Amino acid sequence: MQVSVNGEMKTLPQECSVKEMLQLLNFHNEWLGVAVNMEFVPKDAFEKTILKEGDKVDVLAPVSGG
Amino acid sequence: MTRHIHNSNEGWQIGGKHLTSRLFIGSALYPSPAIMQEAIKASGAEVVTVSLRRQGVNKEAGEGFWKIIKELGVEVLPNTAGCHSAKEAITVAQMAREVFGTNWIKLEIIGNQYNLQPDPYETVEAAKVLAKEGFEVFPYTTDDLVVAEKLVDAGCTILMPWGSPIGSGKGLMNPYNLKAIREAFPDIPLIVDAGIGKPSHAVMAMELGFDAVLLNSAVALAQDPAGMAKAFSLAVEAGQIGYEAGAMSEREFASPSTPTVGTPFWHQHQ
Repeated sequence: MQVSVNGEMKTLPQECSVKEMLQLLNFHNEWLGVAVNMEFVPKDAFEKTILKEGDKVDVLAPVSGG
Repeated sequence: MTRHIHNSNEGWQIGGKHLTSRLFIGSALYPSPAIMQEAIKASGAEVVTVSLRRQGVNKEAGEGFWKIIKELGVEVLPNTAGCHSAKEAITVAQMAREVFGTNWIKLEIIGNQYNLQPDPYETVEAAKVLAKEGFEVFPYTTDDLVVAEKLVDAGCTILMPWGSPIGSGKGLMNPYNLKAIREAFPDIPLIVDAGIGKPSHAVMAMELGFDAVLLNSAVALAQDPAGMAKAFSLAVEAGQIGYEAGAMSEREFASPSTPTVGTPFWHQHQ
């Protein structure tokens, strides 16, 4: 299935969880924040949150800010 | 006028934490990570602002930056910079709380791209939700007194009015409005956020009775960021002590400071 991750279309297996998606796409950073379709997904829900075709995922990491 | 007492010697309280420094500093725009570290140390700031960006798209996003900040042993104040709606800001705040491990959030929702003016309607909306969710909301707002009131009604216990637009370095464009906010909210910690360009601007903010100053570009874009950071540290302290000491009243006319009694060479005209 096709899912948008950080604005890029990615092909992922059906029934892919957020946890699996992060592994498949090499997001190994310990400090990551995830949102699916603009809804926050807490870390403890990564495994049970199953992505669907056309979902828009944001994977954010710390950067400098003012 | 209600006098707002800061108790500088004993430090001060904000968002459930005890601080000594009254300077909050940003972590962006420095020539290098090493210069950033040096400048933050020189500033004496105990609170550093940070942000979140898409990993992989933003080259900086990742563990490297966050490790440097953690090494400094400071409190972090994550922002919602780049958000244009309450919904976006709420989601970013929730992500920031988990990533950075703090319930502090600098709520920043831009309403106008030209002057980066915060959107008061979306900011108030987001503040209501975030305050209910247990966040310590540091709302970036204009110097509008009515918006400040609405933010307090929404549950904000801190206010961060701008001095002037972000990154402009123009200082305090409307000291009258800032003073009005200070007088309206004697017990709410107030931080001037945005627009500070020189140490004298920071002194002025503190002399108005503000509790702290948040700045980034003024230090990061200085010729010598660490030198400027030190200058701001002294400026904030000078302004604070000056405010507590109580300035004299302004007068319309000159008044000699040297005693006039016994002035030499004075002879009464016959």
